[in-house]
Amino acid sequence: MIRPLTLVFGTLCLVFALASCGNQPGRGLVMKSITSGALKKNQAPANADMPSQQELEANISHALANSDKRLSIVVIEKRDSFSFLTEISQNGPIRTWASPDRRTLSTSSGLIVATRGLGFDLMSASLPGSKALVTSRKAGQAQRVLRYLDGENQKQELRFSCRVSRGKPQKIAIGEIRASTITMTESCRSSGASFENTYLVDGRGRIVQSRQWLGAENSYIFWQKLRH
Amino acid sequence: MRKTSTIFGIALTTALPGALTSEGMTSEAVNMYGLPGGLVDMPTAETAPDAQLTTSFSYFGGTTKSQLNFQLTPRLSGTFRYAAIRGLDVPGYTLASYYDRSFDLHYRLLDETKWRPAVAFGLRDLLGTGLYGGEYIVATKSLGDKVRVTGGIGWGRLGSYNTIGQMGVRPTDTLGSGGVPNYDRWFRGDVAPFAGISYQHDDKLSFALEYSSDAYTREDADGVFEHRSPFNFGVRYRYSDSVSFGAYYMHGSELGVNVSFALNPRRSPVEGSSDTAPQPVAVRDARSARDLGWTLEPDSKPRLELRLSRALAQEGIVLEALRLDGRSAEALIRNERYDVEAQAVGRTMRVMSRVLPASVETLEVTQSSNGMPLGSVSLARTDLEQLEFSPSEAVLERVSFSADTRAGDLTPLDSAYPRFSWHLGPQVKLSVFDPDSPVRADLLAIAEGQYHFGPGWVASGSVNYKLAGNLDGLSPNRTGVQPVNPPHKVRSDARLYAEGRGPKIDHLTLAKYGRLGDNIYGRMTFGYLEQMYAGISGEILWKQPTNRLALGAELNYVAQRDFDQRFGLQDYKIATGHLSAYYDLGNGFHTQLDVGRYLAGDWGATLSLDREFGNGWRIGAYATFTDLEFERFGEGSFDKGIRITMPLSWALGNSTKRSTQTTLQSLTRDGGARLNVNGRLYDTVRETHGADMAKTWGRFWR
Repeated sequence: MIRPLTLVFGTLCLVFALASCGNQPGRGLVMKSITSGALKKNQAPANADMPSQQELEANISHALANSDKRLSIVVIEKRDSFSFLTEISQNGPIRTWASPDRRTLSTSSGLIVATRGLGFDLMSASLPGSKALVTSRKAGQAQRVLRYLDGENQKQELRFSCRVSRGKPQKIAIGEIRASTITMTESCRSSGASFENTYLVDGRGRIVQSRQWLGAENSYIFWQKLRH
Repeated sequence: MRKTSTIFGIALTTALPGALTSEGMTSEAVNMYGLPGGLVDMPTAETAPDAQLTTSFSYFGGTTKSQLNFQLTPRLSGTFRYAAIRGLDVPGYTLASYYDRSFDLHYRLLDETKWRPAVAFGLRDLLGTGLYGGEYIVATKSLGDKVRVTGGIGWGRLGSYNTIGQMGVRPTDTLGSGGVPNYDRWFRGDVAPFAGISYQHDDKLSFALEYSSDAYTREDADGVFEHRSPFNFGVRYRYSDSVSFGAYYMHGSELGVNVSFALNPRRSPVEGSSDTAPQPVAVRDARSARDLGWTLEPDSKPRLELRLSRALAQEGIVLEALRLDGRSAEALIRNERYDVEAQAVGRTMRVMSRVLPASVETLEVTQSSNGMPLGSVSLARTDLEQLEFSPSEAVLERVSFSADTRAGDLTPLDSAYPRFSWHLGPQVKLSVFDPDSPVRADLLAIAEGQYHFGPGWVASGSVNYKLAGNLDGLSPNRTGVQPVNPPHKVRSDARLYAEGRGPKIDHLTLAKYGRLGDNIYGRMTFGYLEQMYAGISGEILWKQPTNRLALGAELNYVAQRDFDQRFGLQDYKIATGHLSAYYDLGNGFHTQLDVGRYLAGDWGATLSLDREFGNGWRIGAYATFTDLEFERFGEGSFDKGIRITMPLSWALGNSTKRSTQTTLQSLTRDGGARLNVNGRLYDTVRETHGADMAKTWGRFWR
């Protein structure tokens, strides 16, 4: 689903095994360490990887037909590419979802508590307050803690104060999901960052669609359940 | 771990994300001397952000300088410089340019407060010839966000223009054969003031104006350039986080330019790496944990070994052996991918949770290197299941680290031995600081292979063929201080070893690795050990898994090899060896002391200090003092150098065990020279021990 970040760095090519050293315009001595797909994407106009509405619907029915597992579709907004996620495991309340290229997201009642394989991954999260408010469709205040690794593999903890509020009702029909939802908004703030997550929550407290913040680097992910 | 060695590597840059945190008064700009600061030639009390590594190249008035600055601590930085001055008149020197190496230290004494300026002092060219020798005390105060004002006083070169007084007499004789601290000159002789102001227009653009106290007396007298004015003007443009350019009008007569490349090992281009996701932990249901029925099935163990080794292979991990009983399991693994060992252990345990029968409650992972079991980590499977989405320190509290020898008794899997690995590829050997040609290089084609007969037994060889290059043109040392009655040429014949295309045998050895006790590791290597020496080398290492101190001993008996690097040997034979103490100082600093006999038969000690980062970067320095007199050693007086290890995973964003090691040695001489044998134990062993693994434990769940 998600491609490693495009890295651009220069080096005096001391390591010969890195045969891809070269002189690129505007960057001096530059080496690119990227997957070929990511390179293609950078050169193409924005949204090139995003299919049309019909293509998307065809993709979705195809994916549903080929699996009997829980299924979602996600878009990392910064990367303009979508992927299907299949539920691959469950540990207590936490479900882990994987893309075909081995990137995973883990959710607790639909709130993202970990990512793996994106780079700048969310290593773990504590958000019981937000979870309780969002899934019960109630307004209120909550704290959440998001944990990352820094450049030296040390834990980096961000603590947020959040305000959850209730918005408009909305009907959703995508994949096998048919639901009447309420839009819940969670606005969070810390000394260094702030974000706003939105969730569409059905009558049984299930999040069927959401837009959630993964971290400063990966920013927002859009998440749509296709099958409960 | 495969390491690509180079003699010299200077510029490494990267586009780094993230904002800087300020630690006192910092500046990412460097001046013409490669020192962090916003002026032109003059120092300021600014420092670079902690751990910043800045390479810079500057040119003005016939002088080219290449410089490497490292902010060792938030207050202390060091600068290594290689300068070429065209037209300087040096007695006995026939080349068009005079080449000079120098080293500076800069220390910030006081931080800036609301009313007080930051204050720093520094020693410029504190070793060696003293061509750039000068000391200073300097204060810098910021006025608002954009303006910084600097004033200071200088000695030596920095006290040479418009002298206002004198503090004693500054001697001019060089101590030893150069390369020793010129402590008798520091802060002595003429004193002169200097000052400057810098203005940061925006993120990209800054300006500087300074009054320089350096009269450039010698350059002016020799006609290198004409010093007409003490005023210098500069403009600096920051192209990106890592690359900056500067342009200057200097001393009323010259234009100057400067380009700098900065990187910071504390920040990674991809934090936490972009490796694919690990396998999720499989959670057992409560009832199945009691079921021991599987143990009665006759072929259950081979079946599980196969499944486990296939699943681990997908993670780049090799299963060498498995101990399995009803309640516990120990996997002996070889990690060929992850430079952070905690990640290899975490992934192995995740896979074990998915493959092993539910009754197995204790999971143990032991790492193997060269067939020798190293450190072990064990954890209750219940904890693994319950803590999968908890912060990593929760699981760190539950694991236990050990390094017992039991894993050595396990029967290896059939697939583990014998095995052969090989590699073909190009390699570059570099040499710098040769007076005729500052950079020399050979391009080699290399073929190398390793054959593992059984646990601990390794035959290894490497052959190279020169494709192109000019290392054989290394000039005999014609300048500088000539050694008096020098020792046998144990290292300084590098030119002769570089002659001819080959094929040459780099090394061809048989080695045995093994455990000699719970905390004792051993190595014995026999054969053509390295480019210049053949013989036998034995080593033992004592290291406890959680102790900061480790002790080692190495004893070698070697003969010098023929220059053609085939099978022949020369007459020079020597017993050499060291006792070593390794100590983890904490806060990322590590030190090592080696005491013993060096290749030329000289006795002495090497002291080294490295700053080690949680992502594998290491930056350090070493110095070797032996009983060889300074006159016999020759220019430089004693061996010393700077060394840098860059992990390739840091640059690539993916786990890999490869790294590049660079040593900037002031001069390759014959005193204080050590044997270069492959497979030294300490670094391999410590990586798998609890004390080291705990430093990067965050990667356990990655």
